[in-house]
Amino acid sequence: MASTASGASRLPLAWLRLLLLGWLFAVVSQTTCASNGLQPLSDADREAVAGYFTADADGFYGSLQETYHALRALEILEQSNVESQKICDSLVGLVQAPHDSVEDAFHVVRIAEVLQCPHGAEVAKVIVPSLQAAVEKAKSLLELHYSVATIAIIKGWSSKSASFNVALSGVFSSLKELAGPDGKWHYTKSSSESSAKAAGLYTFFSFPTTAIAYHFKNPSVRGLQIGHIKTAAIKLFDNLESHDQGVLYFQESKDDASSGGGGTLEATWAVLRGSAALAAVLPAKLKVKVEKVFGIAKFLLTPGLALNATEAFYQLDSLSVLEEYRPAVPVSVQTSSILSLSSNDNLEVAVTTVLGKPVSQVKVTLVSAHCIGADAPPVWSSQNLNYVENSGKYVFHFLSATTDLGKYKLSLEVCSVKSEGDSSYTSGGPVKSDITVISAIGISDVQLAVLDSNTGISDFSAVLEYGKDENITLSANHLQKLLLLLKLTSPSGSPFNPQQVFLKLVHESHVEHLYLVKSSAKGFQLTLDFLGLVEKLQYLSGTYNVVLIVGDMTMENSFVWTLASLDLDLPAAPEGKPLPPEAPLEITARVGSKPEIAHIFWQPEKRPPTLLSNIFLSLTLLPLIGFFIGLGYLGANIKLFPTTGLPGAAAVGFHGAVASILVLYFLFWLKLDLFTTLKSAWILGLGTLPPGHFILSYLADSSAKQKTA
Amino acid sequence: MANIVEVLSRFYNEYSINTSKRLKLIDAYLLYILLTGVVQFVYCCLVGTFPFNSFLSGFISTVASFILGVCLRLQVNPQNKSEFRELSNERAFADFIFAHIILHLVVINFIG
Repeated sequence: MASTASGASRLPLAWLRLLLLGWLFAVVSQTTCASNGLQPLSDADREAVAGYFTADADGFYGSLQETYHALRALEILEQSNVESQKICDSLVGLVQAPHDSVEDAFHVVRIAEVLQCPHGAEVAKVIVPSLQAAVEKAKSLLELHYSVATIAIIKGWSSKSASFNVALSGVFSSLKELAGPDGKWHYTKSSSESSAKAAGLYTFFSFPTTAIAYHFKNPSVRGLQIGHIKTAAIKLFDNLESHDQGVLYFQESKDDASSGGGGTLEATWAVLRGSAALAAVLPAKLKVKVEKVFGIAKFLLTPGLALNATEAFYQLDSLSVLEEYRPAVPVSVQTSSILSLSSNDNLEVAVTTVLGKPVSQVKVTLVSAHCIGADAPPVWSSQNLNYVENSGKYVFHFLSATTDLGKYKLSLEVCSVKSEGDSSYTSGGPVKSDITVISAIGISDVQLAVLDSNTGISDFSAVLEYGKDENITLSANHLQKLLLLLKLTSPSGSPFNPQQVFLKLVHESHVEHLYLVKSSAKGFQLTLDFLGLVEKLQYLSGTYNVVLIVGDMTMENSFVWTLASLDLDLPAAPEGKPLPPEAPLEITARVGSKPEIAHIFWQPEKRPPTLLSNIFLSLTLLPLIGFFIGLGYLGANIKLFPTTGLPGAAAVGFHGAVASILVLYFLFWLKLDLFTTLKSAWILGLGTLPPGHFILSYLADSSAKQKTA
Repeated sequence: MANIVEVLSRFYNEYSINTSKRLKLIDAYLLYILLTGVVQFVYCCLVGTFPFNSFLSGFISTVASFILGVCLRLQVNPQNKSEFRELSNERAFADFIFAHIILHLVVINFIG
């Protein structure tokens, strides 16, 4: 009889390994937090990005623009290992040097602002005269951008800031000419393509321009421009390009190359910066759809987005803008995935900004929690989570006495609690996540027995206790059965049915046999009738370890337990039966290096000495020489060789054709193949026939005439 | 020994007198072919058969050339006129050339 009534089956070892691996993977994947699709900047990302910025000996990071990028990026990463004093001291000397464009002054001023250099007034004093002229003669968007943005930064540093108001009033009329109908802007009046990046740059400095207008209380400027700018900014967001999984970004246009290129990342940064600056100065909120803001956040948090220092700056600066973005601040919502009944874990939800800072100004609600796989009403609904200041997380006591083991599907809602007009937080919609409730499982009534196959009487029986090392030894033969009984219970006392319950017999030669233990009303039971298993066990007698394997993703205490040692006596294999299988190779033997194969190559044949071969070559040629000498001795001549007329031509043609065939054979020996040779020989043969036939016929006629004469 | 010398001497005299020049030319050719074959065979015996295809090619070339030469001699010998009444000397020569062309194509293909 092959197996028990419940049908024990001998599973291949590979299947067990696959199942255990799958279970392990499920557990490991559960340990990573479930989230709303937005992962904040991780420590590894921060470290990778910070590695792009390396200071020179003078404290700078390359050019002025690169230095500003590095300083701003390191400021966002909260890294203070910057030589601020050295850089600040160099700035005054830099602005004093003659410059062709106002761009360098713009970067110097930005560096001074980031480092909060004490030399602000000194720098402003040097720059102000050239700035006024630059504003008046600027025609392209970039020139206006650099000039006006510089003014905005130094306006507080210079006493001459009042005179800028006059110059700025002329700026707005220049700007109007650069506007496009779709919210994008042109770099110059003559450029045909409009650009989102240009629009971003425009709104980037529209803030300082507008702020200056407010500051100087110029009502005509203020009223005229605010509505226009706002409309353009909102229209601009219709130009977002979409990608997989809700990622949104601004595509660069061809004209962006004139402003330094930079790709989609720089274009997106420019729009974010510009719209944030605009939103900061507008009395009412800038109405941009939260899905668009969330999509841009997903783009900026794409792993491996920044490939160099410049891109790292754009990414980090964009993320810092999103942290206080007036239309909406995208937040990352991450929940813990595993709750243990044993340790009475709380459900923890971390709400952070894109840079990983905790957010406390939101309300997190557990809308519903359903047990997956059970058609039951939700275990929880409409529950508010409490913010814990110490951990920066929202907490809820999810587990109760009636909470069962298994997977649960949660639906969370994150709402901003700030009033209208301030930044509102968005999680991109309802947050769905799965959690798993796990616990330690009770193992009881473990019984191992050896029964007689015919009578069913127990010849040996042992009751085992989990956790105790009892060193039990059983013995059995092919006329007996092995019985295993056990019970598994969950913390609530109800029977527990794990995914994997196996019994493994491991022979001393490391040959393994695996059997599935099936559940019944009384618990788990397996009966192995050795009479029916003799052939499957390959007639292998000896000592077997009896190993119990139990595993499930909701079990905290999955185990591999050696129950006993079994001396199994099986009959000898009949003649002609294959030998027992070899022990399975260890993993290192299977994937490690194999023994080196010593190849035996064909030994080349022995060749004679070259001198001997040359001697015999000469000997082979000697008979030919002797033949020519013999021809001379016999008086052979070519007096009768026809030389005139057609016979002469035919004779020459015939001999020439034969000679050409010999040349063809020589070429065949050197390099040609048979088919090419045959084709050529066929043609040459046809060429040989006519002259050959003619000359031989001529000679035959001549000799016949001579005989008759 | 003296008898052998006398036989050879008589043979040579008879051969010189009774054999036409044309046949003597062919005999000289046959002797050249024979000696070439012998040299190749001796070389093979000394150094071995490697490469065997080359040896066979060369040796068969001499053997087949000898045979074709003998056939030509038979056909152009006036004493065998009755046997080859309708075959002229020129025709025999043409056959000889044609057979050699085929033979040497095979020899070159096999020589390696």
